[in-house]
Amino acid sequence: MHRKNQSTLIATIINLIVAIIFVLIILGTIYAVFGKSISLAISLVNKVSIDTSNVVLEDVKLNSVTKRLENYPEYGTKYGNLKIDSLNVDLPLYYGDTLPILRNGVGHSSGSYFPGEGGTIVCMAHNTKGYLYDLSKIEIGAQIIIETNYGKFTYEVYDTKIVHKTEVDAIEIQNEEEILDLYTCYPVNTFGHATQRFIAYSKLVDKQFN
Amino acid sequence: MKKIISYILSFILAILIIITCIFTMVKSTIMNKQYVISKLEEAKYYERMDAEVIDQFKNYTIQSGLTDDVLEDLFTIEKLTNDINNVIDSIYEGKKIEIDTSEIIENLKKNIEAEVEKEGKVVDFEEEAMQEYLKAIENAYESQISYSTNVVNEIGSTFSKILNLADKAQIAIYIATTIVFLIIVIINIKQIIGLKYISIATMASGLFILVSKLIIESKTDLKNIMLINQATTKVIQLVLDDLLFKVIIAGGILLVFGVILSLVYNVINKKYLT
Repeated sequence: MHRKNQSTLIATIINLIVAIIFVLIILGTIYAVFGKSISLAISLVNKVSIDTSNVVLEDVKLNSVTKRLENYPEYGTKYGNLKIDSLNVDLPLYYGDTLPILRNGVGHSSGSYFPGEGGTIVCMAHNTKGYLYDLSKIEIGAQIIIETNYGKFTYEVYDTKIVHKTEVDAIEIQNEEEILDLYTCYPVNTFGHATQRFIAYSKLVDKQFN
Repeated sequence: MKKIISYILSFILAILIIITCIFTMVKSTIMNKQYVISKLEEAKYYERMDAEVIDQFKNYTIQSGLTDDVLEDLFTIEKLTNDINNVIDSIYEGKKIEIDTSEIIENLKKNIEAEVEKEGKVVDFEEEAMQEYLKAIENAYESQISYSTNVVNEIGSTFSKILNLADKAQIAIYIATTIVFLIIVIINIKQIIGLKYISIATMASGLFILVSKLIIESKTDLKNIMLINQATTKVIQLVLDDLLFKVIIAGGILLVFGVILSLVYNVINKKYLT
């Protein structure tokens, strides 16, 4: 009886092993035929996955040799503050320029450089009270300060312009000198979406690294 | 020779069982309009979308010189629900949709006039700035409800054709599975109707389904998917959780059933045939 039970069990295990071989053949065939498509599908799924459980603002550091940041801030995170003492402006500075970001403070265009990298930094905020309502009153020589956890950067305004929103040439991305282009909608006190932009151009005049 | 043919047929049967299971699961979930609507209700999708739409409107209103008060009572939850259900109908039945935003814009204009009047000012709705704002609100409503009516219409015409084909494909798969099953039974009629080969096929299909689930979960971050907005993401996550649960049940049942069949075969084989 015991032997019969044992042989029954062994026979069943053998059948299970055959089943496992079948599974391996099917998986191997699928991988061989559709491997690339599967990898693409997996990467697409992972692209739309946002793990918010471990999101922390990592220590952002500037590499003094390459003049590039190490550990760039996550898109949508606050990485500094923008201050204009002459206009009583002190706003949080976020990486990114989507509408939800701009509701929280100053946005930093992802197509531009970061403070300290020696290129054009493009920032923007709404022209409403509590944001850059008074930006069009900024004077030549006024200072704009960006404070981050890796340093403090002071810019001095040297020019201002009012342009139509379609004049994208008004902002030039370059990496020969550090320029901060800060803009907002213009004019203020209009109803609807203003079709012009007020831009304050400023040059880096001081930097202090942490 | 008979053994080799039986093993090959068992392998084919395993594949057919896998396809049947996957097909049945997909057809009863993603391809089933009533199922999707039930998930929308479970996720409180309509209420969440109401909040999402207003939140999106606020993104445009903040830069318009107006306050959020102008967004009061622009549309009812019934209108929103109706528009969302029209999108679902379009996808599942191939109907063309058009989302009507005229009432929303009219209500918005009234609210703007009332607000502006309080400041003793007048608003010109023909001005470019105001036209841009109204257009932005219109597009925001449409894109939140349907992402894009053009895209939905395109998806709808293709998806409804797929649904029609799916019914025919399901019948074909059932017939093929039955035929292979019967062939195994017939050629092994004297060997306990081929229970051995059927049990191997069942175990293989159960194992494949369970292993695939593990591989998918290890390679992808399904739990943290974020698509379009929070409301849509919640529905997608509910559907995925449901599908993965069904996968575990189907795989588990097939595996256990296969093991039981194998044990039964081996017991009978030992008792009566050897």
